[in-house]
Amino acid sequence: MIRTVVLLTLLLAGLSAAASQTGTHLLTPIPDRPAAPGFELRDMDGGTHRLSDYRGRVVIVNFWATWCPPCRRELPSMNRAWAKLNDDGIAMLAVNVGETEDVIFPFTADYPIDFPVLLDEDGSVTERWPVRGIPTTFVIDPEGRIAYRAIGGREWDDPQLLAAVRALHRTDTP
Amino acid sequence: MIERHYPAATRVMRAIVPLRILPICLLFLVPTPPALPEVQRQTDAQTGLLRWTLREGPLRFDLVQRLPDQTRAFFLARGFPKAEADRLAEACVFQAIGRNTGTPGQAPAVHIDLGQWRVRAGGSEAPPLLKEQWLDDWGRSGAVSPPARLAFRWATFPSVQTFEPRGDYNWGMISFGPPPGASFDLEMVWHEGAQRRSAWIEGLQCPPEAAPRLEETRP
Repeated sequence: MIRTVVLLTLLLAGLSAAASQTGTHLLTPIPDRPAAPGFELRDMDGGTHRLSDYRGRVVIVNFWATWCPPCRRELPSMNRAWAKLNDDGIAMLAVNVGETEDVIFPFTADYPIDFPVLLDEDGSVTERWPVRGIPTTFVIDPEGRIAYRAIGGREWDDPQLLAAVRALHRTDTP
Repeated sequence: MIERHYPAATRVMRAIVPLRILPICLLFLVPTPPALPEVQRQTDAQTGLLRWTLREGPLRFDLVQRLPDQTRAFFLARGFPKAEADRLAEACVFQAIGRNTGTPGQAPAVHIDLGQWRVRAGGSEAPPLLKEQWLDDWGRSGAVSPPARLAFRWATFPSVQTFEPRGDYNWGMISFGPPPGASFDLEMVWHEGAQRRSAWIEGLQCPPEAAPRLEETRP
């Protein structure tokens, strides 16, 4: 009897733990896919990026800051994800909110970022996006619409998450 | 020998379920009343600072004391004048972490509006000091520069947010108002889908002026 109770308890605990894990690497689909607000921002090398330049490609747009602990936690996985997605033509942009190159550049020595870091120094671009806390990340479909959102950090190189992004690429790319 | 006669349904059950685990199986059929919100209080072994954790349905919400010096240093480094950094640091600032831990497809979204929360201290009740109030104040007075206000805006917990059960969470500071070391009760309000939920956490303590000595916090 005791053995049965212990086994059932372990089984339930295992199921519960598995259930709590399943939600941690997912993206929220956005109903009706509203158009993503356009922007024109400078990157760390002085180049200019317009969201419209990426029309026809899936783009992951991440809003972050160096002092934000969950942003720091997810950046390495974003970098690994970019290495896997870049060859598929999927773009990734990190929009820094309210900081200058002088702050971001030394930060990247500890947290390498191989994809473009864009500077929204006065926060005016972030203001126009549906962002209430950072990090918040959006996946933009090839038609420039917001397809997915993630509030808080994710493990971006998680296979389940990568599959969702790639499926969007395949679905929307002729 | 006495032969027992069981109803057909019972005979079927006896065939399917061995008698000795029947009571356990029945436990899963008994409706249970909704569990009361679970609130845990923990002391950080390194700093002696306190953390309260509410777990209720898909919501997990953590409130962690921030020493006034921590908050002061953060905002001074981002361009706050000392007087305003002091005023903010002494307004009972906690680090908050809100998270939807529910299973996608089963759990509802969790919606939080800090304006619906109540801080009960010294015989009166009021909402927390929302970021919008601070920003309006500094916008009118000009006491804090726009870049510093921008850092404050994004370092503080969203006043309104919806967390989907797909791993959504936010970190950020919340200022509750009472002075350093004061005790207060907090009514937390949230919505799970269309259902309004609430819970009181009693005996929260605003962070003290200085880090507590660890022996003071041990039982």
